[in-house]
Amino acid sequence: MTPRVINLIAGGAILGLSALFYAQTLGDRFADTPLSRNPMAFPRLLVLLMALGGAVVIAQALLTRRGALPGEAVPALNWPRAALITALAAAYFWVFEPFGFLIATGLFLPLAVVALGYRRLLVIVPVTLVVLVGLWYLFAQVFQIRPPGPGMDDLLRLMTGGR
Amino acid sequence: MIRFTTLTRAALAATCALPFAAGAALAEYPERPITAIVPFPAGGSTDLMGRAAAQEFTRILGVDMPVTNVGGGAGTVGTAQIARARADGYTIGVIPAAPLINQPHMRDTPYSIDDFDYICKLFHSPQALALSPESEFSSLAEVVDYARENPGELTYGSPGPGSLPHLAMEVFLDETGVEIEHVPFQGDGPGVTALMGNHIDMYMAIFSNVGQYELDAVAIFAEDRVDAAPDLPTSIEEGFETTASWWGGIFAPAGLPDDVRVTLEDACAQVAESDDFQETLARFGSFAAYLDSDGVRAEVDEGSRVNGAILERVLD
Amino acid sequence: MDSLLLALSKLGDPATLALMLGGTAAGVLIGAMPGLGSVLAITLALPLTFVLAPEPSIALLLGLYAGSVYGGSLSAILLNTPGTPQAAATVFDGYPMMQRGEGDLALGWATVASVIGGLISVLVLIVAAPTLARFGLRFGPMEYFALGLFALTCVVSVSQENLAKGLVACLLGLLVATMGQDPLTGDVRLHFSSFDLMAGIALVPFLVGLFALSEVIWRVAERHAETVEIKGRTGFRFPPLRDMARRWRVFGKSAMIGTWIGTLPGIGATASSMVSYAEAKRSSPNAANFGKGEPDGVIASETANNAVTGGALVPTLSLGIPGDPITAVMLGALIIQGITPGPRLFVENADLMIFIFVALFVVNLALLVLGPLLGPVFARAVRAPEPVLLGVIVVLLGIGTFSVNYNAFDLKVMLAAGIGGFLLRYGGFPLAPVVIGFVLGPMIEQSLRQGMVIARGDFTVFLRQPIALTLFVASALFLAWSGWRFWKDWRQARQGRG
Repeated sequence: MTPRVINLIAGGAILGLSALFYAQTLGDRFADTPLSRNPMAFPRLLVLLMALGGAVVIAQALLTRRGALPGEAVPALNWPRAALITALAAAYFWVFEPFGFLIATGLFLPLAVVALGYRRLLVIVPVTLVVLVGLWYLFAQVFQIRPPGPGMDDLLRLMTGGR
Repeated sequence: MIRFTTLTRAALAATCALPFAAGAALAEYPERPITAIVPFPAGGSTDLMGRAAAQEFTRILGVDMPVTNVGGGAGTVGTAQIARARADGYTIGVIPAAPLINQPHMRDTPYSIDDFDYICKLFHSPQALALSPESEFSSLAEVVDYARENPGELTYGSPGPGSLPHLAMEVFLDETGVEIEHVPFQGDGPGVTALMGNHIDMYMAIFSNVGQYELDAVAIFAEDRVDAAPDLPTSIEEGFETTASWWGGIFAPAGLPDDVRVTLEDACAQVAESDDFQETLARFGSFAAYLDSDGVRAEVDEGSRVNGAILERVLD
Repeated sequence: MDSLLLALSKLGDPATLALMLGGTAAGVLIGAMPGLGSVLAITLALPLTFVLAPEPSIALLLGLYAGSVYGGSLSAILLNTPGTPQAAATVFDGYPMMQRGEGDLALGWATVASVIGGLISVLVLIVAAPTLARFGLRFGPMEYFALGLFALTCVVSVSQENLAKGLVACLLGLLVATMGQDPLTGDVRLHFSSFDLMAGIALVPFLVGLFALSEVIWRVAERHAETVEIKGRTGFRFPPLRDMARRWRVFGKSAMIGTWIGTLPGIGATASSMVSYAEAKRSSPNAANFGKGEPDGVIASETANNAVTGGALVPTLSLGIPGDPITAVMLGALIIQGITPGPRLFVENADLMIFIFVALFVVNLALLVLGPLLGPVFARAVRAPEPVLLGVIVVLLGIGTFSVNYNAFDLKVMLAAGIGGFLLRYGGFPLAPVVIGFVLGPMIEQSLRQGMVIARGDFTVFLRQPIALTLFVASALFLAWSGWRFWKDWRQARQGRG
């Protein structure tokens, strides 16, 4: 993408975002409230200023020679890889509470490492175990904030009980 | 050998039952740690009450009671989490009144006051009206008289919109029919600073803060004077009707099994009577204030009704 | 003199000393974990203070406080992730130094800066606490509003190439901060009918997502596209004394800014390090290198955020009013010990006050030892194979953010902020203004509207307060000056090309 295209998209996105937020401030509930007691006055001011900024960004893209100011460069990125790690992180955060810390992390960590192109199992397995056990005890025992879901203590009980 | 198998079985049962603990009346309640959710961040007044109570519960019930702070949304996020929790007695809440009786009138909360089993009321601290250092008033009546002649000229501060002090002051203004402008702050720290710097005329504060910040209080909104400040007159003595306090208790998600509820209620009564608990509270200018399940339920209902009406007027 | 000796002998008690140093080290570790910060560190120690005597408790708490503020800089420099919000401004130049292979030196600068900032603020605390506290009382809503606007002008300095984009980024931060409950009326707004959004966006998940998660995504995307290998020594290197002496101005000014802003309740270390950074960028002879790995940037941020520790104790001890949530928890701990902070503390408990001063002094000196010890440990961990490192970082971000409020929604906020931060970077929008807007927004809005209530619509009140007026004029002058400079640069760039 050229700087001009990126700046045009960015400016458009800002305008769109402004519109989205502006829609949230509508309604006549506070129509006759004094300014200091009107919850929508300040956000509305911000939205209008932001839309103005978006317009300036678009104007810059259209009016400058390269479509960007001097010093602005377009980074070359590998988008599929960015999408991959974002999707993995999103899945991890989504199941973090319902599955619990140990299960969610036990699935995510090896999967993410392998997906990012690192295949040495002799490193991945011990690292995963250390992270699982270490972080669980650090939070549950030292910080007194028990991570969600079944914990190491349940696991131990299950193991000794199953014997 | 027999002892070993029983132990193993119990352990197995406990483990397997853990995710589905609702029906697990296998052993006597409580058999594992009880989580106490405090819907405010660590270090605040509610958190201190919660931690003091948890210590006593641990002693009485014989199982750990870790405190989990779930802050945000003026207490509504944590309160919603309590309402959503499994009603097995292993998740209880230490909740001050505001997220129950005020916030549901200010936003759509995913819970209502009917979503809880009310175990007990446990702590309270009366509220007091403090004046700025430059104030020339010397009694509550003088404040009211001045405000009546000069409506909207005085300002009062509170730790936040929808907080108990805010509502208490609005109830009082309602009773006296005078107009004093509300200037809310983000917590007591900034509010008290503004009072001491004479940027506002008065500040409605929990009594514990009056002592802590050495504020110049003019009246305490309670039936009786408090020992910590025997010279501070009550609002009743001054000829008004409003009393107000910051209070809270132990609440659980609705639908607890009967035996669990009875155990918790008994334990709560013991906590309220414990010397250690009372001593810890006294250091923060608060008091143990026990009310049983029905009593606290009635107080919540009444508070929600009164404050709901006030909020409807104040907000729109 | 007697009290000083008494304080030193109490501090020399092995148990007290061990608690203090252990507390400082633990604080550094907690601060370095993204998401976990000073409040958690101090809350953890609260139960301990129930059973300890006053002096050891205070030593422990002060150690945790100073240590955790310093610890945030380690992950800021090594991972481009502020470990605590206070270290957000350290990222801007600390991480570029790391990328340049000078991570060891950046850690050195951060350590020296933290120590100097801490020590200067203790000296100010000793000499001027009551005076400063009284001055702080003169700050009402109008003054806070003026100060907030003044701090906001620093957006202009941290917007790199494109001022319009910097301002948009700042407005975005301001706008996100308005979501949730209106601070003045309690109405909820901009919540898109979601209960979770009614509670607003919390600082930690927003900040962690914006910087840390977006950095993870960025690094993954950047690899293969153009191989960036981080080189350089792992470890820790003190900057040469000559260099330090040359930059004394930045140290001094940042320490003053940090201490002073620390004394004002409700503003906090994050804002103060931002203001200090912007001021350093404005006045430093190396201004052009800011954002590209200029030690002055690290110094400005780290000196200021550690100076806040002493500053925040000013109102806490002399008025009994905590300057921020961290000192609020400390205040609670003091009360548990039967000590009531307030004007009388200086008279009735002079020995204890002197003990606090001495302990804070020693804690800051301890950082000088702990930094070189703990820094390299983190630096080595960062040398792990990148896929492993990034995977572990995501796990750390997840559990750290979740634990603050035990709320799964915060994870979604972090994810959204991470994706947003990534897109902003790609579009050439600076991230610093987003944070500045987010942190200052609530204060600016609330103080403005409080002022309007108090003034009853008479806006000239804002201009009749001497302190507020001074700040307004300073903001206006600064804006005019930077506008003129921007115009000059732009014309030069045009002529250079044409």
